[in-house]
Amino acid sequence: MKKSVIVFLMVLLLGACSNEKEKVIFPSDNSTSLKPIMQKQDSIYGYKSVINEEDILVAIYINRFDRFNKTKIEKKITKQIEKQFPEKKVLVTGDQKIMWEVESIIEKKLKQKELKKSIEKIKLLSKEET
Amino acid sequence: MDQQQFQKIIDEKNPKVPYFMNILKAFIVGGIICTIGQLITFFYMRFFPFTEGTASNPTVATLVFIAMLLTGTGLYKKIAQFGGAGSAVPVTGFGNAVISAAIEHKSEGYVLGVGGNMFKLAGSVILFGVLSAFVVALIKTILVNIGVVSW
Repeated sequence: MKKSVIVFLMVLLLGACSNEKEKVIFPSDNSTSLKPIMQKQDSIYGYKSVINEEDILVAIYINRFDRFNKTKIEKKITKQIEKQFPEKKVLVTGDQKIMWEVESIIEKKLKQKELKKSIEKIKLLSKEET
Repeated sequence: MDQQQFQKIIDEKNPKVPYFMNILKAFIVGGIICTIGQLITFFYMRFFPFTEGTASNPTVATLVFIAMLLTGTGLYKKIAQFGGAGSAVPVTGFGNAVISAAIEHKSEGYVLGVGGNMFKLAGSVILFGVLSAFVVALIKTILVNIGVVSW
């Protein structure tokens, strides 16, 4: 019993050490003007982003203690991106679920039509409040 | 013998309360319950269309349900004896309060016993929650209609 508890705690401790996150923009060819904006944010340690003609989705990893200001950070980054891309709808979020959805889009390398469909799905999901 | 002397004797005779151990146990048990809750949240987010904000509702329901099952089988009593406040403060304590009252009054019949006493402990919590939610929603609706704030 005691041994298993110690093993469990060790797994928790070691699991927490690997939080290297990547910075991805999909599709990568039109990432030129989004990258510098994301690079200068110091309250996040990674982001994954999906862009098509109408929308920009950015899922961000917020630093542990900056999570208290989650909505503030989301709003700040949204404003900066909207300034750069006035013709697109921007959604910046620190939500884990949306991060997973964006990851699955990047993994499957969706084409235009499917991409639009799944972006719509994610936008609906982020509006859900019940 | 006056009051102070009497109190002194009581203090000497009483066994010492192991505050530190109690706090540590409550911390560990409460932490384990909250970790399970976090895992259930991740489960709902992974396999169902819930976001971080919305996944908390089914998580609370699931935790209360699990606590109710554990209370019925008598396991929750053992956890509570070990963990103390660590098992009462999380939302699982709510499920325990409902079911333990129901079991206690089972011998008085299903309607007057179980039905009448089930919410003896937890009923005030539900009432307070519903009423305060109603009042807050009312105030917010009025403020939105006046135009002070937006949804």
